[in-house]
Amino acid sequence: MNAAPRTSAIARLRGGQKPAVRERRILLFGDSHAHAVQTAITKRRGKGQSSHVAAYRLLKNKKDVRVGNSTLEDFLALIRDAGPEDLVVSMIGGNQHAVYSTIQHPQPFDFFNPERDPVEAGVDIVPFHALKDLFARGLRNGDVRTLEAIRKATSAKVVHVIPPPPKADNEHIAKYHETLFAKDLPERGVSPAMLRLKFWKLQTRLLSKTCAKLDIDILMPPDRVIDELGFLRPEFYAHDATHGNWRYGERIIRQLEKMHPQMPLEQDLK
Amino acid sequence: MSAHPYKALESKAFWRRSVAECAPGSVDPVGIFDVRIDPQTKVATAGSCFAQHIARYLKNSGFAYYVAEPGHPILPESARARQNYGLFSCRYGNIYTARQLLQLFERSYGRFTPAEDVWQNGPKTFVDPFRPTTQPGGYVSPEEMEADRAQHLRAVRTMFETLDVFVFTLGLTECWRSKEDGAVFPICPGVEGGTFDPDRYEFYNQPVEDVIADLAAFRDSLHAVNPKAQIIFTVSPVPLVATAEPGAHVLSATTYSKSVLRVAAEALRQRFDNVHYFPSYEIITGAFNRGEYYAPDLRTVVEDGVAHVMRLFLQHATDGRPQAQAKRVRSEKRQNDHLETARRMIEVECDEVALDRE
Repeated sequence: MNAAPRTSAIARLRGGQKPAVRERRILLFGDSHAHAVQTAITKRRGKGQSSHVAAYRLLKNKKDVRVGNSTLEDFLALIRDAGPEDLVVSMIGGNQHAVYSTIQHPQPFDFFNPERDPVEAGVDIVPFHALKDLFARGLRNGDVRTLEAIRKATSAKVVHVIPPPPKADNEHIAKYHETLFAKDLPERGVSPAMLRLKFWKLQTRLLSKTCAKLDIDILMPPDRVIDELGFLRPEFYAHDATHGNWRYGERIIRQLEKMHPQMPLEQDLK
Repeated sequence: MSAHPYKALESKAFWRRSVAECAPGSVDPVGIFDVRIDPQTKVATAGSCFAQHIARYLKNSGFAYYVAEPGHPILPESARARQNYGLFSCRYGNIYTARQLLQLFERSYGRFTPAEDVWQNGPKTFVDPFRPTTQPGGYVSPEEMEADRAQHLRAVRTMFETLDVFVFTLGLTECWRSKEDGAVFPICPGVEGGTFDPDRYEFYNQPVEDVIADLAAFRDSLHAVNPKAQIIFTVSPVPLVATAEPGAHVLSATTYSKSVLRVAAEALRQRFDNVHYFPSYEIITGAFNRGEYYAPDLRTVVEDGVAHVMRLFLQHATDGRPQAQAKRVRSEKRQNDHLETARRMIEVECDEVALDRE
């Protein structure tokens, strides 16, 4: 578990006196995208650097493989005593867009979007509002419930990190899917990159709206990780179809630290 | 007592025997109706809102209810239903008038392109004037509307060319049309989209000769692209919600409208071998049911009434052996396979990221 140290640096400087303050904490919880942040924290530690981000990944057991280190319930219990001086970060969900847009559909399709991105010629058109309705329902039955639970559990400021944008490189996606679906991808192919980007934008639009209703801020991917078209830059690719690597995680940590800098709370507590 | 023509008539020709003294549920006003539908017959539907019941029953009865514009399989069936796919055989929404039906045919073959192109309902909400309620939320741009419309009209052409039986429920004679080119709208401009402008739109209450001419022109056009097609006309028993006929009472206007439609349907039936009439109007409105087939608003047809109509429809048109259900379910499963595979792949990937294969 990459929990942040609870004793403040200020207290240590005071020679072990009982701390009058505690650090402003950043408590992060997510699904698979949290792994990039966890890895980045580990890398920092390896270099002797610290981070006041404590990152937890949803615990799952699948086919005898245990991934993650915290249940949602445990995380909710953890953030109950977090106060307005703390920051709670959600990286839950995030891959719904990829489900719809990674493998080429046997009946190719595209859709128009409010951003007026290009539309492929000669394929079926699916109405934007039909996809929006589908995504909105999917989110309501999944990620939104978790976000609501997080919001309800704490008086800390809550931020939801928008998942990384898709990767433009179809070959990368085809190459790094060697496991269970090695058969399917060459046969079906990878969807056009623009379709992936449009689905990601759709999901981002809905998540932003949902978060606004829940009084949760959103954190867009850092400018530095995005190319001129809006795709994830290759240097931030994890070796799979959808995730960012530890460098991506490091960029998220820097964003969070910038948004929520470490400082003593003495003034606040007076 | 001398012989006379009535002596040889069937019971159904006599009011007392076939209406007054029958249990309401057993009244069967079907006259000549020689269409045959089997589980392979492709039955397409269109028309006013009552036609939706016909589509629903055909679907649920396992017959080959023909949907030529089912929506893309990336959308699960429930999502497509919310977007009005499958409500009718194509996503044209309600077609209330004979002129609207003929116009749809002409538009689908590029023989008529209305000058009225798109209605804007908000900064980023665009509506198709010829099916303004079909796409919930509207379209995000005129380009999206045009692309969806082109796709829709292609499906309409396919439907007309490949259907076996076309069931059309005539709903209204009243409509609004463009003064510029005569294009008619399903709903008065300004109600579900657009802006009403008396300089641009006019009220048009179709006289019987216009309805007959439009239906005959439609019948000829359909016959030209699909000679085997059979047409079943029905008249919607749902009264007008409002009349725009100057000075008219809505009840009288309803009687006028339904009478014209009933006469036109009969005229077409008598004129063409491939045109048939099914009396759903009579089943719902007949005094034998003492108004029981209407909800308290006296407009909405209750389920018992719809069931009566469809029981007789299936009884007269089929041999009662629907078998297509299993086939339909298998086909849906195939459509959902892609999404399931994609979902499993992403889930597996989400788990695998912990293994950190960088």
